[in-house]
Amino acid sequence: MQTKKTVSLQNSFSRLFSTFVYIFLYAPIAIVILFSFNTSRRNIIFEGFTFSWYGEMIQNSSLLQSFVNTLIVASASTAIAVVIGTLTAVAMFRYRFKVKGAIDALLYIPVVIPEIVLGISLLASFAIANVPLGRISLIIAHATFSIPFVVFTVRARLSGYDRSIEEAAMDLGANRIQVLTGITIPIIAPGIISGAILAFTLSIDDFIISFFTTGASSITFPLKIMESVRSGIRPDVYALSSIIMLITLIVVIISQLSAYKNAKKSGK
Amino acid sequence: MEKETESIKEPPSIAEEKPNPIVEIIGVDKFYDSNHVVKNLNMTIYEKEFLSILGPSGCGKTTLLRMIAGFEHQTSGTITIEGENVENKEPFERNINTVFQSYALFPHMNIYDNIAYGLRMKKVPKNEIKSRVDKALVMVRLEGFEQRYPSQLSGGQKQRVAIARAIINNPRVLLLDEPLGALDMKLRKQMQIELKSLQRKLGITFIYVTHDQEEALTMSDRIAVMNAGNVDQLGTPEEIYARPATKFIADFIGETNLFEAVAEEERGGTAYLYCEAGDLLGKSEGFDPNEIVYVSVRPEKIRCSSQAVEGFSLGGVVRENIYLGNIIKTIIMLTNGQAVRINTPVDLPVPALGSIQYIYWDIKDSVMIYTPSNDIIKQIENADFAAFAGEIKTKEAGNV
Repeated sequence: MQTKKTVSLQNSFSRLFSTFVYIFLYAPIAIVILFSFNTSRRNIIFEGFTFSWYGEMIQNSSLLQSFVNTLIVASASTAIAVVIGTLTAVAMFRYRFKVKGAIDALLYIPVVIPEIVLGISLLASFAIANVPLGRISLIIAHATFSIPFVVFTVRARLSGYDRSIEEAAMDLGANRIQVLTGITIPIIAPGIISGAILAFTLSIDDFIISFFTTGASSITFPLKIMESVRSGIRPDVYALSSIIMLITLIVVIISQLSAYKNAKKSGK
Repeated sequence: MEKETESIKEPPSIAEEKPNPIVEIIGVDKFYDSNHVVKNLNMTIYEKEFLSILGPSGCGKTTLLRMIAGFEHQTSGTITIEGENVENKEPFERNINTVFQSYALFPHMNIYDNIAYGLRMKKVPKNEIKSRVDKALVMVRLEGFEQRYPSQLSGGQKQRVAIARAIINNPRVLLLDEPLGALDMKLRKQMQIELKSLQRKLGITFIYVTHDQEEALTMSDRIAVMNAGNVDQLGTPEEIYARPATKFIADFIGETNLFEAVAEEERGGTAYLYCEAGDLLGKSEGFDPNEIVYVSVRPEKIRCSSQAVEGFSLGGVVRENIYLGNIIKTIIMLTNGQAVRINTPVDLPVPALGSIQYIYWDIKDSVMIYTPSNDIIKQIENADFAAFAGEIKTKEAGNV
């Protein structure tokens, strides 16, 4: 039996520990947000509160352009990755074929390979295939490393899936397309959505592969920040970063809420 | 009294008029790679009957059902439904519905949408769907469950939804693949009766796959017993229980005592046989002398006495008297070590433990089972070994 004293000691220790964990995780983010409101150009001392960097950010067309470019690339590569990844996962779940084991193993390679190696090999491939470096090459590159993540999340969802559900639908008069759109896709949708979110975020913050596979015409947001670091980060970059964080937070809250609702609906 | 005999005659709907075949299986074979799971199978299933396909796991019964539904294709042979060859028909083009072992309800739809699914696929008007779903819910006693999701239901309720979802489409044939397999004993018994009465009420053909012989006996008009890809016997529950065609069926359906015996002679409708433990009598069926037959006698048909009865000399020691509520099961060990099981109603006397008893039965209660091994023996006896040996010799000569 533990005494009351040791229990309360343990409790206060674990509370202290988790406080430190949260400070460690969130302090850097808080600092970025804080300095986006700083009147000083230098980001060492907080001198006064201002919104002016947000105004300047809107004026900074090359910064905004890089952000828009990032969103376009992320959306396009996510769309490609979701379609190919979902079909791959469904095919690997449904059919038995000889090279299945090999394909399974190969899927992990883009995930575990150092990004710099993938970046160089994509660059070499684009050079051989005569693809000009720009937005298109960037989208292809991002889709390449996103596909395995979609396959993994969709397959995880499929692992508990009973094939006889599809047979039941067919038995009740649904043709193959109706089965796919009315039964299979709605059931695996949570897997597809989490795969898409993963692919989208990976694409947005990718630096190394983008560095190798894009041209001067399509600079992404991480590349832009990296570029500006050389001449010292301006607080308008902080302002844009804060806005991105806010958007991310909203997306996370919405997805959590809908997951909670879903769980409630199906009584789990 | 008169009324009673009438009600006994009435139910088997097959007996009334000349039944119409609804599903015909003609010479169907199914291979999985080199695995022969259904072997040249022929079967006719009639309108409005409750047919069970009974067999141990791996006998090909589920494969047969899946071929009728259209989920599997036969390697060769023909299946017709309502007289039409369904070779090239997809499952969604066949006018039959299936109740799956795992229920296979759509987890992302509520009960109403689950049951309405088939009608929606057929583009039935909305208000008609509503009234038919309501009717189906009443039929399976699930009124008020429309808005629930499958994960919120118990096993028995899920089963009822699966049945409602299938029967709402008014199929001509309903296929059921061990639908009660996942339910507990008590619920199972209750559902057996419900299913049977539902089938009578709807007047549609049920093809019911099960490995549970009691379930098959309770519900079926006819039972097809399958073993290793073949239908060993097809008949009414009474026929199958009282006159099993093979040793396998005698053993599989109900409890029985099997005696491997040799026919000695036949006289006046009685076969005189002997087995390892002694002499016994059976029904005369025109056996050849020295032919091996199996004599199957149900535990409730065996009697015992302290004196040997004429024609029988099967003596043994009473090893157990087990009280089972309505009966007492007595186990007698014969001289060759075979354990014979006897069921006696509780109100009748049972032999004392450790006493020596002789068992016997009325010959009309014995079932004589002819064994295919006799064919092999006959073939060997009739074989022309001299010619065969000559053939080998000429071959050897050729090789040298």
